[in-house]
Amino acid sequence: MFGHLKDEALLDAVEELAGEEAARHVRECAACRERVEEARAALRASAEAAVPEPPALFWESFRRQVGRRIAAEPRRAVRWLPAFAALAAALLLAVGLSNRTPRPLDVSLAPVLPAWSALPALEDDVGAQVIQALIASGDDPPVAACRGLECLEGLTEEESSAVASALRVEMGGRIL
Amino acid sequence: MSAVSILGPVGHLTIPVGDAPPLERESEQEAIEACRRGEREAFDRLVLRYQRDVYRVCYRYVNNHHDANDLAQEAFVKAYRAIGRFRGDSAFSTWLYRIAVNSCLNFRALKRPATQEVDEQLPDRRAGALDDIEREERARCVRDAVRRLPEKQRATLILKVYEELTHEEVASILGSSVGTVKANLFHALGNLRKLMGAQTRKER
Repeated sequence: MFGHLKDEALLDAVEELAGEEAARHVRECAACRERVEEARAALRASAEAAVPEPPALFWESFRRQVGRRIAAEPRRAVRWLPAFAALAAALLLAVGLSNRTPRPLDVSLAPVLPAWSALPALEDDVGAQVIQALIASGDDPPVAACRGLECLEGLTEEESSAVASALRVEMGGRIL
Repeated sequence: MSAVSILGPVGHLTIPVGDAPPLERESEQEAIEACRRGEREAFDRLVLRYQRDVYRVCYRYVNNHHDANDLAQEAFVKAYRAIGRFRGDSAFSTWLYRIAVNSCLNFRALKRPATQEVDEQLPDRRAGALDDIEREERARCVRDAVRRLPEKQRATLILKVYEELTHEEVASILGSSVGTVKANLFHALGNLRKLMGAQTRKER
């Protein structure tokens, strides 16, 4: 082999991963051997630089501080948001929710609906009213992303299922 | 994991401390998915799992607790904001390290003066304390030398030597080739040796 090894190959030698030819070169070339030995010495010395352990309660405090900062972040918008509103309407219709205020569920108020085509008129549609109120309030980005009830149509089964999961999270404790 | 008990207004409160329990890959994926759905609480599981790793990387950059705490928090908040864009092409830890390293690089680029670490510990007179002091002194000397390395060399050394990542992972985090990572690491070790030698001579 002519000349000296490149740095990349020298590092392989430091890590004892060099090929046979490179390893032989390091054995025979004083200059390369010296660089490899110096790097190994630095590697050994660097192992002594442990990071001081913070106080015992630091980690709990750290998590809480991160939690507080995240709680102050605006709620995340979900990409399939338009679809979200569709199942929101269906589920809210079923349980007869009032606008953003949890209250005991009165199942007798919820009509059993055979299909979308059988939806009641808007003025009688409690779920739709809730959705519209949420859209108007703008404080619930997943629903607010939907500009009107017309975007609730045409969901696939998969989208509906995803929307249902999100709704359970979003309206936690207020729907069945 | 161990726990400490402190006396609070309503009695003793037990707080878990020490290493976080390992978050299984499946649980980690579930937590990531939950965060994407907007479940903020799920992010706490990721913080619990990675807080030490991220803090340690930041500490090695800035060499003091105060700035390391700030930078590590910043890294997690940025990760939360960006988690919707995490595609899983690399491991979550690799992605998180990349955010932490970028926070550290930005911190350096802004040339904020590093906070001086104040050693508030009282001298310990117990047997073996001298050994501890000498060990800490050597560690401080190495950390100072690491802090003086050029940016890329320092990042490479921290991730490869201290976080024990593979060359490929380091390359992915730093956006370099594996060859560049190896060359940077070799240069870092050479410079570290020189810096520590200079420091030792200066202190004599």
